[in-house]
Amino acid sequence: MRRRLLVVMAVLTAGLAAAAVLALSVGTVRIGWLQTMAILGAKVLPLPVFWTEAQETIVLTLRLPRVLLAAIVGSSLSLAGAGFQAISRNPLADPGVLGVSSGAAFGVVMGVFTGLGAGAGVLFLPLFGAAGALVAAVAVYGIASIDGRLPIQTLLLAGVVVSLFFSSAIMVASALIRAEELQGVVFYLIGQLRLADYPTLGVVVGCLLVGTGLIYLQALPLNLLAAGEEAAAQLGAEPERVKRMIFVACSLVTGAAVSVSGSVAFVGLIVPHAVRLCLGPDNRLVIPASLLAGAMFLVLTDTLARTVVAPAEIPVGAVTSFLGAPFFAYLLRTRYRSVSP
Amino acid sequence: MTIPLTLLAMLLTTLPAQAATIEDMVGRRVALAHPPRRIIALAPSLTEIVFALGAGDAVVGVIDYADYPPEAVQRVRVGGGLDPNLEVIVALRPDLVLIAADANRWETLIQLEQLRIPVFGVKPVGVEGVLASIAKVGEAVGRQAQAEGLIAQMRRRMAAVSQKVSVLARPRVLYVVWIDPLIVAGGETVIDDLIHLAGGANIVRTPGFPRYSLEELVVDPPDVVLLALDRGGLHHGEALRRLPVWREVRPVREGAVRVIDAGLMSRPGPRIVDAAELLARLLHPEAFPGSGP
Repeated sequence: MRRRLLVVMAVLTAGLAAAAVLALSVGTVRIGWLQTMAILGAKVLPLPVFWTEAQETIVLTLRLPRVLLAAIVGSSLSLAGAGFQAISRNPLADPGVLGVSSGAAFGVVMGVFTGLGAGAGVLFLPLFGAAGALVAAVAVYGIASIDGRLPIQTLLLAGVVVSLFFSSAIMVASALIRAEELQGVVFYLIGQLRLADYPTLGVVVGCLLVGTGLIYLQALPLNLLAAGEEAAAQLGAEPERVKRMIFVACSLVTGAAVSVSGSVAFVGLIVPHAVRLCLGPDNRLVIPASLLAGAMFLVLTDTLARTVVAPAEIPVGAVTSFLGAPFFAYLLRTRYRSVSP
Repeated sequence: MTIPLTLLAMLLTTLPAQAATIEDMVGRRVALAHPPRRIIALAPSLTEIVFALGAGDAVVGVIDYADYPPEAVQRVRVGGGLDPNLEVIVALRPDLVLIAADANRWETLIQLEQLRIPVFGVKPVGVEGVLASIAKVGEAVGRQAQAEGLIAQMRRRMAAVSQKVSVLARPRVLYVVWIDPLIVAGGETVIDDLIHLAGGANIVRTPGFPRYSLEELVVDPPDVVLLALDRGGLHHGEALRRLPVWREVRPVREGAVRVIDAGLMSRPGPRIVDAAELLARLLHPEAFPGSGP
């Protein structure tokens, strides 16, 4: 088990590094990958300079923070997806499908709207996002659970309801916001990765680390839970406590991610699915692997978003939905055709 | 052949230019090369101002929809005003980026500052604001004398227009920026000033570009509807006659709709005098015999 984990993590880390170099070297302005690696390397090694100052600025100041942000948001959403899927024992759960992202977005908009997020915005907006996410997650759970179980049909419908509710709440809030602020909100809501400053990245990374810790500690109980709650309880796990813990952790992580990127859909669905397809259902493996695979996935999709219509950009959320929606449809058709209502 | 040229360009831009510190129109003190040799203008109006001051040769980058003067079309495009492509801007190695409060986002200014690119902010409010921004841009690009000459000439032409229409009755005007949802030009805008200058009275007093209700339009119709369209869409002026509600509104029914080039009207640059003259002709054809709009 330990050896397998190490091999998987090593392979994924190498993949993520390759994706990052690719992302750093493509863009509107052409910069070779060798140059890109050298620009990065020159920070620690004495290398001969064979690039211009403009190229260095583009790689280090424009592309690097964006690639880091993509990696962090991708990790966060995948982790949240893996967590929600484990506790609901439902492979279609993900922050977007469950309406948790909409709740987070509403939390962030409220943060902007009330001005409470303005003073210490860096710290507060992720927390506003997390609060909104938690409210949405609790609501979905409350609506969907039948005798403590979360059947696929009710879970998906509850997600739709909660998602629509918060989307309309956001529309109401944006109708009340002054025009100048509205522009910022609109840019925010379309799910686009922007240039983030390092303090903001730090806060989101902090939330991600806390969330990862909380969820990974529960990896074994989550495995037991997969066998059914009674069985888990007999084996010494406390299903309710585990669920609450995961709910809070996933909401924190989703809220922080949404506060910097808006709603980027389907990442939490696609990535853990692909990981389980390759590695099997063991959460001790799925959770850490989802972190790295999620980072790699969003770094690559954001690169697509930046380049396909260059010099303009499409929001990365549009790219993930474009890939994710057909994938979701495929899962529904192949895996759940025989489920009776 | 391209390599020596690039070298030459690099040599030229690295030659020590004189530096100057100038206060911009958003309360920042900006250290600038004097005169700047590589200018990027992030609004079509700014492009027009720089060219009108004779510094067009130093312009290396413009915004996607900068279409005037014709020479500007050949410059590198740096994206849209609200989402300029920062990579392209950095790669152009500008020594001055001109940014406008009415066309760009504050966030862009911050990002350029973080990239250590000299950014000069312009904030044209009303016609006087346009003249002030021409003076400021003149200072920033080292063309004060040209700016003063241009401003004096613009003042003369505007005075001539307002003199011609001052004794005439002022038609009540609604300036339509967007049809659905209905967005109109309100008070404290350049357009509002131009309507007044051209002998009209804007019926909308809400500042900025507010939404306007169709019900109000029906209850209290203006004498003239000015419909601002892109140059490519000027022939769509007839469209209003086919729209529900609109076709019932008096000025539309009676043919008092005037179509006007949105690019000319909404750009706070040197051509606002052309816009004022055109507007005066549209609102008071009787005062300009034989010239026709």
